[in-house]
Amino acid sequence: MSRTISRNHGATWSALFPPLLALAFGTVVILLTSQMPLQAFAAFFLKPFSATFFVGNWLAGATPLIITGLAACVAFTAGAFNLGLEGQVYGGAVLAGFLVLQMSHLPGWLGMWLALPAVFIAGGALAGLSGWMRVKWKVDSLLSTFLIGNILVFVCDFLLEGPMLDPSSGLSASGLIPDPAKFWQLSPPSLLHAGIFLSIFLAIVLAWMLKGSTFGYEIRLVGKNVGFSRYGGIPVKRVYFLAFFLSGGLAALAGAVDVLGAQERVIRGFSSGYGWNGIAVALIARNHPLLVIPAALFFAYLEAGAQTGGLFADLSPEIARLIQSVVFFIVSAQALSDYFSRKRVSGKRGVLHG
Amino acid sequence: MQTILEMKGITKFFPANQVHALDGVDLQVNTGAIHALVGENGAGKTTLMRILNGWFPANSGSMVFKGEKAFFRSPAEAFAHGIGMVHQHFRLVEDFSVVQNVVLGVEPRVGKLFASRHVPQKLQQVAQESQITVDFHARVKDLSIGDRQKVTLLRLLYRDSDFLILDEPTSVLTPLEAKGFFNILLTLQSKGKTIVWVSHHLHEVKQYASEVSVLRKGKMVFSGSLSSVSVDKLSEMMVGESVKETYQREPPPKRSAPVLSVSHFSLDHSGHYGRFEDVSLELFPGEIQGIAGVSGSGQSALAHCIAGLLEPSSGTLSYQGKDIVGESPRELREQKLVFVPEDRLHEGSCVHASISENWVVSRYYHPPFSREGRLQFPTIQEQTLKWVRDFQLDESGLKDVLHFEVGFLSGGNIQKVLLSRELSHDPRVLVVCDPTWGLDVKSTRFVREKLLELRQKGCAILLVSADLDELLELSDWIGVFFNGRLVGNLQNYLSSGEESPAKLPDRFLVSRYMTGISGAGKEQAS
Repeated sequence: MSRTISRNHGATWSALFPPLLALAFGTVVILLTSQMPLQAFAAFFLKPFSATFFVGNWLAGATPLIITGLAACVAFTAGAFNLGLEGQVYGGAVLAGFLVLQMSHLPGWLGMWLALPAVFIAGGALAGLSGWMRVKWKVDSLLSTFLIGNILVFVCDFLLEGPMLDPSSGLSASGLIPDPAKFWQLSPPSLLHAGIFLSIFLAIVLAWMLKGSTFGYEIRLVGKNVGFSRYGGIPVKRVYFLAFFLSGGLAALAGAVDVLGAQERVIRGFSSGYGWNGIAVALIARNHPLLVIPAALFFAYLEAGAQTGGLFADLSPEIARLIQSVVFFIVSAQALSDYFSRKRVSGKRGVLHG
Repeated sequence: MQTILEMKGITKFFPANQVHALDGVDLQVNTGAIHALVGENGAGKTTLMRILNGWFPANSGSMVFKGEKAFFRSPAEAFAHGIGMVHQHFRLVEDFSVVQNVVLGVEPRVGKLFASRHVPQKLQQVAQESQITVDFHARVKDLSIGDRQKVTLLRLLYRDSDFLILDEPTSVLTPLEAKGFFNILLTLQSKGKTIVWVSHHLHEVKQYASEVSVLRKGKMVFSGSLSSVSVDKLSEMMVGESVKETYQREPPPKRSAPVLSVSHFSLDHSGHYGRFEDVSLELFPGEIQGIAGVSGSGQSALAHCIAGLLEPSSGTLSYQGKDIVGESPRELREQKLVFVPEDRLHEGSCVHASISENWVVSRYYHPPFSREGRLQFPTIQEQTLKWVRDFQLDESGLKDVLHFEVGFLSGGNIQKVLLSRELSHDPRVLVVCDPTWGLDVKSTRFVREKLLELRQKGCAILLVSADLDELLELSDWIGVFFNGRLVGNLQNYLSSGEESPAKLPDRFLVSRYMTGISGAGKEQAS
């Protein structure tokens, strides 16, 4: 008998299953839609590795996904859904842009290091609100995070079209992010920036926290069995609130890191997909923070492949979205059925009383 | 008599925990028999039934059912051959009516629509033949456990099952319900149904079964007619050593101030645990206050209110002279008021977490179990091991407490993990619900002796139990709940000077209170 004894001994296989199936599906789509399937194949699957430029862009694309993956991971581990990631990412980006633009008279690095914690706290407070409403009034957090997140998307759109608009850009976008306030560019002209180290660092910290800290223990047990946690004496309400706070804070941070690393301005709608893909990434990674890194790399690889496939062959960029959607569909179907079957069991026992 | 089922040389090995659950087991069942299958927890009864039912395959062995030589590959296939299984936990749709549950999957139709209130002729006929009476239009969630069991039976009979497997059918029933259940059982037998009945209750087996098989540690140690074997002999074969039936219990010490007093306590809304009204009760050091009652009469809700898991609607609750309504389970446990819930799989433990994660839930937040927010795994492992060893957890569960999931332990071992955690807090008041439910003879004895040991040490115990023998054996007082009210509190020891044991309550007296025949506060003695 060893440490491998757990309910998911088939975990490795079932974790690899969705991406593999999706890749097979992608292959079929390429074969069906391309006039030059062989080149398209090579362009999609191999080109992303062919030059440091592409590799750099690939890793830069993975950076915010790792962080949103972690954000989803925290909420899932506590047995809660944060469907507001998309809005939190966007909001974090807009706030980060706003702050560094306001503080452009300060030395750039100071602006950045003030902006990141502020963004984290703001995002945390917003998601924490959903957590608080859940424990206070039993508002379903699945709905509240989703609705608040959607409102936030519109508010951010408004800000970028109105008060923060820089007409000289010719886009719906803010002014230029001052260079000193940006993350260190690792391999120009690719977008790769030092934010990737921050994202990996966060994954390691979170992995340690979930396993080795008392707070991580609380989150895990609350996620596994609320009734037991309440009976055992874990402050369930506080744990829910903090889990949402952490999740929202990380999501907002993902937006800030991307804006201060890979973007020139905060552009309207730039984040489309980071939040939802973060959920898929966490689901593929089975909520393990360290596995979030390869899962995010996989998702970003699909994007990178779609770009090279468009450049060097006749593939449309939508192919990445298509494959991602298939992955998302499979993993979320798996996870939702788990979630609801668990909810049925614990729901009967007055989940949030006391 | 004709043989309907013959299993030969059945072997089942579980690689996950390296256990030979069954080791060359033979089982022969005759048509029209009530065949009792007895054995301790973990003896392999359920495993054998699951192989019969097509749940999972055997590693080796052969099976002949109704003359066909084959194993079933799924419960559906077994069902199609007339094998129906009633599980310990009924699988019914709570929000559906009785009829809807019975016909689920084979619904009668009016045109293309489901005739949801229609009671098919066949159902009425089946119910009449088997003498099962239940309100067809009641919703299952409003039914008592006994009625739910009847619905499950009806569902199987309606779909032409003629070979019924009943897994511990009476462990959830009151004595009166059980009596009704046995009448049904005998009626079914007279209609030619074959019944395999998995049980711990040897007296019931002796009374109602026609043949018996005894499993011990994966081996069949006896199989044959019941007339040739006594209850004592069965019990001996089951456990492999004789277990004495009675417990030494001196009268309780002279009463001083109550350590916990509940007065005019009510819980209005009826949730999962039921409701109760105007309950007053006092617990004294060194006494066991038993609570009997049909399940759902409010006794479980009372226990949860005392433990700080439900908020009472009105009334006071004072512990050592201090009002404790509104205090959290953690605060109460720190003050040595300790609770052991009846639902050990969902509330009392987390089956997906490891043994040590389960054990440390009441302590993880302070040194030496954690320091500055960091869990101290070596300490946690060492303390968990020390306590579960002390509670005689089987060696099989001890290999790796940090990683071994509680869900893989047997019911008895899960209860030992739970109790070792709670009793390690050295309780002054212990509220405990159904502590031996579903446990084997040896574990049951172990748990009961632990309770008496605590009582000896001056702990006040509130023992809520569906097992009347347990209450009669252990309690100094037996309070009885009926319909949310405490309708009686019977003294269950002889005061000095009294001699006649005839004055003590027995199963039938308590049963009368439980069903509302006696009591209403008049007999309240204190």
